[in-house]
Amino acid sequence: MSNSEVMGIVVRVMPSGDELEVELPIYSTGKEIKEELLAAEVAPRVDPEGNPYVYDLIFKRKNVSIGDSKTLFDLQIQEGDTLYLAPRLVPG
Amino acid sequence: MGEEPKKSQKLKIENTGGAKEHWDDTFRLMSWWDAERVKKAQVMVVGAGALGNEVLKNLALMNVGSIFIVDFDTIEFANLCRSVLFRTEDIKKNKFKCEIAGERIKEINPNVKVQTVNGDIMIDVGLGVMRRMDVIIGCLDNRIARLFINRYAFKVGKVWIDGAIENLSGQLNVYKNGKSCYECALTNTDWENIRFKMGCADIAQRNSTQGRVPTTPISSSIIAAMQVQEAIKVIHGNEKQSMAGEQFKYDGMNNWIIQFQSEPVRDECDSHYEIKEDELVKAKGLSCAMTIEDCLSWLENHFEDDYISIQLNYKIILEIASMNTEVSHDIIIPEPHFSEQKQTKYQKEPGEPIGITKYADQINRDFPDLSLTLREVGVPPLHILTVETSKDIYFVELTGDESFLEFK
Repeated sequence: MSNSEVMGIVVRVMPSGDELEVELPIYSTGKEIKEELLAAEVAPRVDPEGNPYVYDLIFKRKNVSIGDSKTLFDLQIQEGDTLYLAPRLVPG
Repeated sequence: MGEEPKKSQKLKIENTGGAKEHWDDTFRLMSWWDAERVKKAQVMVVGAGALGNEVLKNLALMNVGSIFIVDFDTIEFANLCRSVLFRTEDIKKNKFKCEIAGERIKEINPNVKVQTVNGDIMIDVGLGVMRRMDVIIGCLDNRIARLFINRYAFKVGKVWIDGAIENLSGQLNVYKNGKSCYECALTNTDWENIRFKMGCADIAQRNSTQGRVPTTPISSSIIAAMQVQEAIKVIHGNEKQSMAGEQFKYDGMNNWIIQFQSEPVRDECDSHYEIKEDELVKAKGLSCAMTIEDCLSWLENHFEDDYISIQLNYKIILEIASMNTEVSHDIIIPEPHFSEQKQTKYQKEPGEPIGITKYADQINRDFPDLSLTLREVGVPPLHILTVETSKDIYFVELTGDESFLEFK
């Protein structure tokens, strides 16, 4: 595969419930994907009090979080796979 | 068909010697349930808010023997819709959340013994208290408290179970040294937020929220139930089925549930150091009621070393200045206890900012007032001091405070 190859994956956003079809280069890192999604305003960057949200990008089929430096290729994510974008919650 | 049972078998009545039924008789029907272990268990719950209420209720119902509750807050009207243990009339009582919660769980199950600390986990609970717990449950609302619990719990070799909720969502993490770590998973964004909040002088400022992040009793009851479920596994020594090393996320609005591996632990993380049993000096001759002078003398004598320095994980403010009028004052107060209210008396103009111009992060012979007690400079009962000598670093528990831990 070349660096320029892209694949279509599904991103489910917690808690909005939005389900997005996204085309991503296979060598996109977790950090890049999250940044792209947040830049597209699919989820808020801060909570209602202005504290920052930190997100996990989770590959449910393998029960792993895609670390900031890992790529889709590293985790052998395939066309049509589903990722979850989920905030790390703070309140209790 | 088998033999007819004899009359005596049919009418067999167990002589209980007059003993009452057990609270947990139903649980004893579960093959794995160890009633004695649960009854003897000591569990710390940090935070008595929405999650804390549910956790405490479940621990009491499960007949967990001794519960140590830590919270610094009082009950407000906004808490009532998510707090099964609080009542409208509690608001007027001007009592702390931990006290009311402790009273209510004893009403639920009189077998339960409780001790409460109205204070901040960062400074008001001794490491020796944590060392005596079987498991620690975090029901917190901020990153700083989580960071400190993570460091403290790992230092004394305890598992801690963290819950968080928002809206109809929730998450659960079981942290065990070597398997998963809160600090290892912190991002740059988390650290920026922690540093910003750490800059706030007192507890109330650090933890201040405007109540704009919605939480519900639905998500709190779900996550708290799972926290207690994991705690029961820890109490039973059930590592195999524990969620340690994994994370759980729940989204009730979309009916999504995800369980996934925690981030790998890093080698160079500050949280991972665990005090081994043979590294700990259990000093029955030391207590937090002693003066700094007496404590230093004890340590000098014990380690046969003239250079003794007690390392602190907080600052003791030694001098402050009113920033506009530039008037300075010598004071001695632990920074986390320097509340906004305490600052006002040093303001020469209303609202004038107060700056810290001198502080100490260790206690040694150069400390300005050796006649103060360790407690007065912020050392809690049963704490484990980190003591630097000219040769090495040692861990010394104020074991003389052992009577502090008294569940009632």
